Amino acid sequence: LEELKNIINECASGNARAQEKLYRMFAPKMFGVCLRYAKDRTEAEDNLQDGFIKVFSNIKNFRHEGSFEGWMRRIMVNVSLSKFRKQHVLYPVEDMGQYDSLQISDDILAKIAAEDLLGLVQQLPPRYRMVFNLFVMEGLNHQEISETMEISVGTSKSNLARARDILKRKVLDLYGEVESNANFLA
Amino acid sequence: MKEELDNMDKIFREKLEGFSEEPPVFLWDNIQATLAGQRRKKRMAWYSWSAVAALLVFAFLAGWYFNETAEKVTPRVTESETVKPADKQNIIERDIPAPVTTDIEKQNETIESDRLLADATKKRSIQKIQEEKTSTSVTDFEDKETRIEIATAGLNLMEKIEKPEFKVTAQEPSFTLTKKDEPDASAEFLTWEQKMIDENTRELARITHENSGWKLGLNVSPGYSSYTAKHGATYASNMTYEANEGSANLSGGISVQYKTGKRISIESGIYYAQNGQETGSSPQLFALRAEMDYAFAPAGKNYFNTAVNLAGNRMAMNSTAGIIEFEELPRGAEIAANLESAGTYANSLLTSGELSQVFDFVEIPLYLRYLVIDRKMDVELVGGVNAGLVVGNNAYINNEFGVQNIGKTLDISTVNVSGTVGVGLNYALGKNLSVAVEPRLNYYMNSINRNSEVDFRPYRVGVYTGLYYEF
Repeated sequence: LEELKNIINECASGNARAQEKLYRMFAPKMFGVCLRYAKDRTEAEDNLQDGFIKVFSNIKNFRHEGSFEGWMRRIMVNVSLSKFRKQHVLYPVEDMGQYDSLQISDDILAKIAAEDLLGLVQQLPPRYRMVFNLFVMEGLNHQEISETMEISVGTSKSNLARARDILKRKVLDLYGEVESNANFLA
Repeated sequence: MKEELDNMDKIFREKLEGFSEEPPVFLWDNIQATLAGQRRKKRMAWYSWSAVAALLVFAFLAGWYFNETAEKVTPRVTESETVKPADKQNIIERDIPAPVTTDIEKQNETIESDRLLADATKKRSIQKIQEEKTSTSVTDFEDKETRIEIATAGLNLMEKIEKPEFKVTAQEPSFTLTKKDEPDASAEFLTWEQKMIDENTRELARITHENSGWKLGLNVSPGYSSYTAKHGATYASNMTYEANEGSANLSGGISVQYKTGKRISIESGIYYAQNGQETGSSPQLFALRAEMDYAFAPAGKNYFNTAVNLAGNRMAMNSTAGIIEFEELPRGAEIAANLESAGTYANSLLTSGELSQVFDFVEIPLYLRYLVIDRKMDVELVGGVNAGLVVGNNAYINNEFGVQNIGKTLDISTVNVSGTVGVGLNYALGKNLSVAVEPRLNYYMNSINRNSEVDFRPYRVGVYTGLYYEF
């Protein structure tokens, strides 16, 4: 940990070697974060690049209070969010639809590989993806999400429910009845 | 609807939380290059600002210095001068004034003042006096000159200034300058004296505007702007057709000149100018671009057919001055998929019409002017640098739907440096007012685009026409 602190300080004074070290340390993890927020790898790569440039140009402001990884992750999320805002005009449409929760057995989900789950998240419509990520992965509540994304609390709740619904349907379609589908084809 | 995580959320979270993946190798290179670029940019900005600051300090000090010396020199001339009136005969034949006796102890100083006066005028007669050295006489027009030169030095010296003037009017041989009493002595001027005085006044009006002082100018210029550009190979293979066409535009501004001496002056001010480029994309038969013919373009009209990069709801196009980011698809344009072309991008933008990229600059000049020919029509050489601040950045497509603003060019630096050279013709309308016509060339010394693939340097030729007021 003391070593990380040193590296951070070196980065703050512009040491290129320290910057590379820091990048090697955190890039894979942060790429994972960016991938969740992006629709594909290319967008995630762009965001990771922009995020790291932000990290290096703001690292001198990091006060060693709280986790560095958390700080970095917030930057990545912010870059992803601001890219999302730029790309998608946010129509102030209230989405108050209620969606029936499908039931899905935990066994099925547990068997699916992380890569495939990631793929499902990436396929979500952009706004649903953002809300789902902020709620589930960053642990923000709907009030916070509504402020970050400039939508109403109701819309946030509804978007989350819709995201869950889509994910469940996809899981069922793809993995739920593998056996029966196989029989059909056979 | 519950707010806590449901079961599915938990599984997603557990699985994705720990998920990490090695990003592609080139990403670090990109980051490194961007960081290096930022450092370079910071350094450049620092250099240019300190250069501008240094130049301003220099201009200020130079102005202050010349101002100071002007004030110091003139009082000495008046104080040292105690001259007896010149012989009447000599004044009449003013081409060859004969020596006049003076107090010997004052001789040196008087000669010195003669020399100073001689500097200020081109009258042959005075030079003759100076060559002879024996002469310490101060003739009519010399006095006048002294008076006007002194007048520029300050009001508090006016009393002293009047001394030499008085001497001229006095016809009595023993009259001394230090005892002036009646201002109406001028009534005693002879007609030929009055004529000479008038002539000298006219001559001096011309001469004074050559000496140190301020000049305020207001000018406009119709101009033609174009550019020189170089591009990286990959960039160029997806770029719009590069037509070396410039555009006509209008610029203008306010200038302030400070004359430091007879021939040199320093100029600053603030100018507005426009630079840019225009292109219509012709069919590129052999380039690596979209090859689909855009058959709907009216005959004889330009159209383009250029690869565009579509990513994440954004559309970007490589153009001569840099990457244009579209705000929306322009009216009358279509996107086509590049099915068989070898370009890097999968899509092309097709539209008739012309593309133009326009940059608005506010330029703050620091010029040096050198007076080459000093007549009623002056000729000056101008040269110097400008800090060019980009205040406007727009791209337009002009097609059948009119001129549409489609977005802007990315990576344009805000602060740029350009150099200017020109020749000025300056015609005096009156004592203080003059009109000038000045062809100038302004060339950007750095690429105004930071993108390393694009080297775009606009230049502009303009005929600056304006009014100048001296004070």
